[in-house]
Amino acid sequence: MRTVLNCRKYLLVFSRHFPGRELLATAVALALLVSGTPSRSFAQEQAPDSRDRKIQDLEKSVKDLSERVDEIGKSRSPDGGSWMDKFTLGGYGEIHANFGEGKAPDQIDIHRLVAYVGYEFNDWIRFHSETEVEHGFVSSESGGEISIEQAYLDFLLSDRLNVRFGRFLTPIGIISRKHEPPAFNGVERPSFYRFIIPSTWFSDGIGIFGSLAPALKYEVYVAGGLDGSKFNAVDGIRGGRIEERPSLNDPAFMGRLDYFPFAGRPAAYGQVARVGASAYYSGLNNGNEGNNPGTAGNLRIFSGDFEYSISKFDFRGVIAHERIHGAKEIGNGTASGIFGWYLEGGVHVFPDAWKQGKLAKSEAVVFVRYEDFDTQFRMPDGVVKDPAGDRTQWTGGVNFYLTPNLVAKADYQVPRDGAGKHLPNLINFGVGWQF
Amino acid sequence: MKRWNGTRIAGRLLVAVLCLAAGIAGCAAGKAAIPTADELHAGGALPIGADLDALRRGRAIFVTECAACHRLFPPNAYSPEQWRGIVKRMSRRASLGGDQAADLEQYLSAASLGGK
Repeated sequence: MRTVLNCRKYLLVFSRHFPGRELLATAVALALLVSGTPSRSFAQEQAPDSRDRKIQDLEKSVKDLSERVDEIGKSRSPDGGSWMDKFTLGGYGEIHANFGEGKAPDQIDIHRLVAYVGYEFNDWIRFHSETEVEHGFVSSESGGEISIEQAYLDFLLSDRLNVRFGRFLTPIGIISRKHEPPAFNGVERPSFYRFIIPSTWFSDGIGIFGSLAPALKYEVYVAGGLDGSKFNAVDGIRGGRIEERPSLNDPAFMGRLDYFPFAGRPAAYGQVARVGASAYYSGLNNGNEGNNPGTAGNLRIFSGDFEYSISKFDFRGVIAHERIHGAKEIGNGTASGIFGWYLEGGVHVFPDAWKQGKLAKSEAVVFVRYEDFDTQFRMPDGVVKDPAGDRTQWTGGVNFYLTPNLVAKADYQVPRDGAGKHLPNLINFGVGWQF
Repeated sequence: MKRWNGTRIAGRLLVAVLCLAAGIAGCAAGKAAIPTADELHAGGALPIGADLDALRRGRAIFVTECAACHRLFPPNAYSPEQWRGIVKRMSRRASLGGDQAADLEQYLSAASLGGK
C-alpha cells in the first residue's frame, strides 16, 4: 500500500513539474509502480531501511528528470517560459443553408473554416495568421479555395507607434475587423462587402498603427495594389484583388482613423460608440507574380462607418464612394464612380429572466438591414450604364447566441436591382462559431 | 419600377426609424454597464491605494480595442478570475502590450466587483 501511495506521490510530483505532460507522468508513475512493486511476500521480507533507501533513490531520479525537462523547456523558449505557452490557437467557421425563391438553387455550404495561429516571440513581437478554407472542397472545378487570409508580424513599440508587416486585412469598413460569425448580424455578410468594399480583402505590405489619444486610433499602410483590368460593371472592384503574389508596381496607400467618444467619459445606459473614416489609393497596373496588365489609372476610396450601442439597441452603418480614373480604358463596363451604403439596427430580445443555468450567457438579437449599392453610379463618357449594377437589399432576421461565441442565425433577404428586376428572395439559416 | 422606388424610399425611412429607436433607447432607464474609474472610486468600489490612472487607461483600452473586434460584455458578466484568463488570451490576439494588458485586467477586475 505504501508503494502505491508513493507512486501517487510521484504522479503528483511529475504533474507539478511537467505541466501538460500528465500522460508522461502517468506512464512514468505506472512504470515505477510496476518496477518498484515487489511481490507481497518479497515486500514483507524487505527491511524498512531498504525500502526507504529505494524511495529516496527514486525521488532523486524524479527530481533529476524534472530539472532536465525544465532545462529543455527553457532552451526552447528564449524568455524562459514554456514553449507551447507562446502559441495562441483559435479559429472560426460557419455553415449555411441557403434557399432561394423559384428556380434559385438551394444549398448547404460549409462556407468558411478558418484556423488562427498566433505566436509571441517576446513581449513586443507577435505573429498572427488566419488560414481559410472556403466551401468545403477545393479542386480545379470547384468554387472552393484555400487562402492565407492574414499572416503578419506586429512590432509593439509604444501605445502611439507600432509596426505591422505582412498580409493584413485592408482597413476599410466594419467587416474587416468584425468578420467572425458571432460579430455580425445575418447569415451572410452584407452584400455591400461583396460589391463595394470586397471581403475578405487582404493587402500585403507594411505600416504603422497605434493610438494618437486614448479615444483616437489610427492605421496607415503601404501595400501591393489592385489589378484594374479585372474590374467590371456588376462586381465593381472585387475582381481586382490579387490573392497570390501581388505586384508592387503601382502600390496602394491606405489608412483609417477611429474615434471612440465614450472611451474617457461616463457612458450612461451602457453606451459604446465608434466613428471611423478610411481612405484608399491604388494604382491599377498590378498583376500576379509581377505580370502587370498595363492598365493606366488609379482608384480612390473614401469611406465612413459607425457603430453605436445603447441599452439593448445596436446600430451600425457604412458609406463608401469610389472614384476610378481610367475606367473607360479598362472597359468591361467599369464605372468611373461606385457608391454604396447600408444601415442596420438590432435589439437584444432575450429576457434577462431566462439567462440562468445553461442559458446564463445566451442572447438573441433581432435585426433589420437596408443596403443600397451601385457599381454603375457614375459612368465614363460614352459608356452605357448597366442597370443591373444598381441594387438594394433588405435583410431581416435573428441571431441566437447559445453562448457568446456560438451563434445560430436565420434571415430573409429581399434583393432588387435597378432594372426593376425581381431577383429571387432568399431564406438563409446558419451556424457560426469562434474560439 | 414602382416597386424599385418603393424599396428605395423604404430604405431611407429606415434611417428615420432607427434614429427614433435610438432616441427611445436613450430614454430607457438603466445603469452604467461600463463604469468609469472615477465612478468606481466614487462608489467606494476600489481598494485603498488603487491606481486610478491605470484604471482609466484600462477602461479606454476596453472600450476601444475590445469593441473594435466584437461586442462588449459588461465587466460584471465575468469574475476577476475569469477576466484574467480572457485578458491573457485576447490581449495577444489584439496585439496589446504588456502594460496595456495589465491596465485592462486591473480595470475589468475592479469593475467586475464594483459593477455588481
